[in-house]
Amino acid sequence: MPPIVSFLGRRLAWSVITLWFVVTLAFLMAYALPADPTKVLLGPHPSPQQIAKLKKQLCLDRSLLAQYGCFVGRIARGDLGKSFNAKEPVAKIIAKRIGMTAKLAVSAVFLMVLIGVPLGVWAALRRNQMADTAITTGGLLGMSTPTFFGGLLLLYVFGFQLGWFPIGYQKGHELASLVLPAFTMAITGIAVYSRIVRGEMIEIMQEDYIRTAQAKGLSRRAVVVKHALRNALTPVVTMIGLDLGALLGGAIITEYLFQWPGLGREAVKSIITLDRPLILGTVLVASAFIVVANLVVDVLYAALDPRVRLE
Amino acid sequence: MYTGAVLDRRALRRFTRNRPALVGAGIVAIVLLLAIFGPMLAPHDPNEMHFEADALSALGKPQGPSAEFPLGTDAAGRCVLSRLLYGARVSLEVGIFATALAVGIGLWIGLLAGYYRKATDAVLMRFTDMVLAFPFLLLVITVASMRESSSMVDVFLVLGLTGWTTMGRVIRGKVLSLREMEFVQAARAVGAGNGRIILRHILPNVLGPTTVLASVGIAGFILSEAVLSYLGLGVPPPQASWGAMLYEGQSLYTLAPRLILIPGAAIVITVLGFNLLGEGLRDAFDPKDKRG
Amino acid sequence: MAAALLLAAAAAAAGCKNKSLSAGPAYVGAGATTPTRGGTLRFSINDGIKSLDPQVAYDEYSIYPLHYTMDTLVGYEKTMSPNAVGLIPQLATNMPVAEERTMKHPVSGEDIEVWVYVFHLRDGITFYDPTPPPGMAKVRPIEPRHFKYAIERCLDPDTSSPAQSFFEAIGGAPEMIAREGDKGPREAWGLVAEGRDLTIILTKPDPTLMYKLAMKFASPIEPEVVKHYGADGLNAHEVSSGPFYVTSYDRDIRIQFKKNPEYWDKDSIYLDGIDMQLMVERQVGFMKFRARETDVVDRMTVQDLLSIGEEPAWQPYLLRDKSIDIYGERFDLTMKPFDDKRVRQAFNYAINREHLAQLGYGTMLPAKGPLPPGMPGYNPELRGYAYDPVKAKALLVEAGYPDGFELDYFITGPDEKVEKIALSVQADMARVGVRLKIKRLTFPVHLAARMSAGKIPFGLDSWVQDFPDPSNFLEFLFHSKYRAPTNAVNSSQYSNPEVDKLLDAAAVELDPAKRTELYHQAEQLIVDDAPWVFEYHSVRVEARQPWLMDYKMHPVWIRDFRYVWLDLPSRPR
Repeated sequence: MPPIVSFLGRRLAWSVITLWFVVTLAFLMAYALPADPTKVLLGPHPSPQQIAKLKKQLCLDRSLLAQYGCFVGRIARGDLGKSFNAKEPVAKIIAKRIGMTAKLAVSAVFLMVLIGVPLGVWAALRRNQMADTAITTGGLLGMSTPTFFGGLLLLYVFGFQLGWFPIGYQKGHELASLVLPAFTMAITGIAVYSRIVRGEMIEIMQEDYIRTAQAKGLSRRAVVVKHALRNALTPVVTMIGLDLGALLGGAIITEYLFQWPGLGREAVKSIITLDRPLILGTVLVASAFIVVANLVVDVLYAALDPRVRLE
Repeated sequence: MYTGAVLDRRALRRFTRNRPALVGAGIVAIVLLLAIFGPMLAPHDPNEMHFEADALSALGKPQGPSAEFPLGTDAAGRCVLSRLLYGARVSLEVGIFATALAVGIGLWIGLLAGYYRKATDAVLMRFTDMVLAFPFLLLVITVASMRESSSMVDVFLVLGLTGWTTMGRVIRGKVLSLREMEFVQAARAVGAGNGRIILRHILPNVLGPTTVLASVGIAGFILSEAVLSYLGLGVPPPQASWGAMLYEGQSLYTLAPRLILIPGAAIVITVLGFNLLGEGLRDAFDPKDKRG
Repeated sequence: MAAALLLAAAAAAAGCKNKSLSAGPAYVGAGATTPTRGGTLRFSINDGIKSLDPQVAYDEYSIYPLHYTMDTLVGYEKTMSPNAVGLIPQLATNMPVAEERTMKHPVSGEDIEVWVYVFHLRDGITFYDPTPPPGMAKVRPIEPRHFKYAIERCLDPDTSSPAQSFFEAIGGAPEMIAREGDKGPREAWGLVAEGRDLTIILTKPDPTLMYKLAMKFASPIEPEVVKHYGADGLNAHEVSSGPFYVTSYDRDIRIQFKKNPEYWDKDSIYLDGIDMQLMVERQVGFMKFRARETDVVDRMTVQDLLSIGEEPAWQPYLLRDKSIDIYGERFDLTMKPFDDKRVRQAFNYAINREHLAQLGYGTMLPAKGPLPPGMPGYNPELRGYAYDPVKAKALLVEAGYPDGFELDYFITGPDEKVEKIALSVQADMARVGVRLKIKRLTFPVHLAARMSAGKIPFGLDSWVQDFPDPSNFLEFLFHSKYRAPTNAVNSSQYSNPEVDKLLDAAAVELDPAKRTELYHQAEQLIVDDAPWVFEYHSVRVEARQPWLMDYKMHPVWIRDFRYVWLDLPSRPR
């Protein structure tokens, strides 16, 4: 077997095991919640018959192990179950929300790269000058700001005071609604990307081949773009993959703050309302994105960088 | 025998010449002092509600700064300055305890995985991957809503038990290269056991990166505590933490922006301080590494 | 700075208007004086809609859409003063009074005493369903059998309706409720549809029947529609019998209504439509209102009130109304030390309700007992508890707690208002030596714990009316038959045989004056026994835009936009 195939096979198997672990943990947690979903669903004065009936309907009258077996069996068949509250299949709810989350995640990552990378390059080229200090400090400040605090400030200034953007998600004004949450999510990423690129650039610019290129009389711009930046971007590609994976699972805080109708908001609501199938569904999907992103990044790495051993 | 002193003279000199690192150390020192002595400086009991006119209008509006309340009062008529000072202690305690827990787990996982390699490494690192694959916030929210009540202990347990993964990976990397070094080989040659090698020879040499990670970790956990409190799942009322102050002030922020700006600034500055310190320490220990 | 520039550019690119906000309302003036037709009312709520199924929807927000799309046999008066809740015929033409007679029980054949109501249906009333199931018309007549079926659906155990217990007095209802599988009837003999008449036969008197028939649970529904969509499908589909119909529904995001062109009373309806955004965070909702994106602001938070409540320009557009509810803490009487009445009374004396009122920005009215003012049967002469920490301390000493004690105090959260009240209660109790530890439960956990005895010794509790009648408060909260484990609405596990007797007598008393007297006596006994700390009744405060006309808050529907109109020329955009 060629090493790449067995490598892929092993990674894939681990991914499945990881997902199983996550789902089992989520299952145990969701079922350890001390509250009784029948009481949430039936209002304040249900009759004992109603409670018994609903329990049967929701499989709550069986042992935990039986419920777990039934649950894993369903997932293996690709059935995520039906939401307690919405009475719709969980898969349908997730399918409906995932597009919105994807729009937000992709925009945020786009902003991180678009702003973070040039800032990093600029800082590296002006090393230890004013611009560098400003960008480095600004980056640290960005990393030190809680997402919700940054989001709240953006919402207040650009939504409420200046009125440039809708306050929270507005149907029909999707593009305008997207700007503030995407920026909110991108704050930390911009800071991190600019710092990574700066560090890589500084290191690469000191390497011999760059010096050689410069000595050969290549213009500074050509050196920076053709040689240095290309190499400095490798870790950024990794980061993009991992960030996208994490963000696709739903950006809970940002979606919550901006009313963005995505997976994260659905997940929080499912926990608040004790909607167990939906809790499990959102956790499963969110972790699947993380796992797949990891896998893709590993494979890309192995493909791009022959030094990585396929062990 | 090379023992790799944690802070040799050169590292110390590099650190003291690094102006941002000194600023970070200064901020951390001030915040630590405030957390220790803040309660003595606080003009009021942080949880006492004042119903007098200079604290709360007849209609329940919090009042701005005055001689009695230097930073004004919050929506429950409590002294913002006093809560800020007491909150420093809570936020730092959560940050430090969670970090201690995370370091405790991450350090050992890293040491064992890196030293024994092979199956041990594979199992531990896959486990780390699994923990990483769990959506952190969903986990935290579920755990928090599972508990009959949240306490500070819950908060740092949750944070610490989920936050050790980076630590584990970085330490493992260091150990992997350390175990091939001459002084380890030498120790093994003279018949030292695995336990002795790990404790005597490898551990002292990873304390440097661990300090760096801990400093950055405290910063991260202070942020996480704020997020939890913002969702209303942090320390129980009436206890003050900076995150809880943000949570309490958020719906008044159009009217009294100081109620979010003050704790928000406190968080940002403190986290910045720990980040700067961590970065300075990294530069001091390992001047070649310029990555963020 | 760079980020700010980019944001500006993005704003320009996205074609956003700059609509910076002024402090006051958009205009101040009389506006149009005669109602004009047209326009869509816009508002946002900070929750989602659980169900559109009229026999299942129960919570405040799920009732909203139903109120616009469903009519019932009887309904509340169009214009009502805040303190009176009058019922008038809606889809029926009459308000029958009970006719007492004896009849043979259709199953057992015994002679039984029954109370009979005959409703006559209005002519020309129809369902409106622009997207009908295949083979059905868009407009379909409403017949008496549709009401019969609606109530039977509530009783049917398969529906899991929260309204089951409301219709227990109807002949055949207990047998329907008890049905298991195919063993038991699927119809109630106490509901008879004949011609244009619906006859309701009760096996025991129910003075609150009219209120129950005005609830959306009793709105007509066709068995064919239920069959087509299935119980789950009805969560998101409905057929209109009211002034509006749903044009689009995106769960947890938005629901839109249009005026029903076939509505029997369409001349009373001025709006063209209603546009509700769902699950909007309260503070964001408030910003939307300030940005004039909505016409009225959903239940303002205390903090929102602070920002416009003191601005003179907004005063004409603020609405205040007493809500029919009770908030406070309840003790678990099965747990020590709350089996001792003196301890419970001590708590009642120790809490400073004026402080609560100050924290609540006038949205809290100190309470003496469970029944709020504005409710039929409210007793202004009721003896409550005045703030008296000395007396509280003395009672605690007498009960054997001279040094006080430590106690877990359960609240629901996250909710900043609740937490503020809890802080004040905590401080008040500390003054008499009781050290409260605040424990915050999320709502579902609280709900589950609330309904079982022996879990929460002392915790926040509240009751909001289903319909404005004392029985809805006193019976559910304080009758011993509602204790755990059977049905634990009576969360304090309070039991007093004398109170039970009074409540049972009142429940079947058809003479309003005698009934009120019975409830007065029961309420005083309950207050003296102090199973709760009765703290406050809430006052709802809302703000409307100046162009939203004829809007009043409603004691039962909370907000009623059925009959409002918009002064469109003065609405921006």
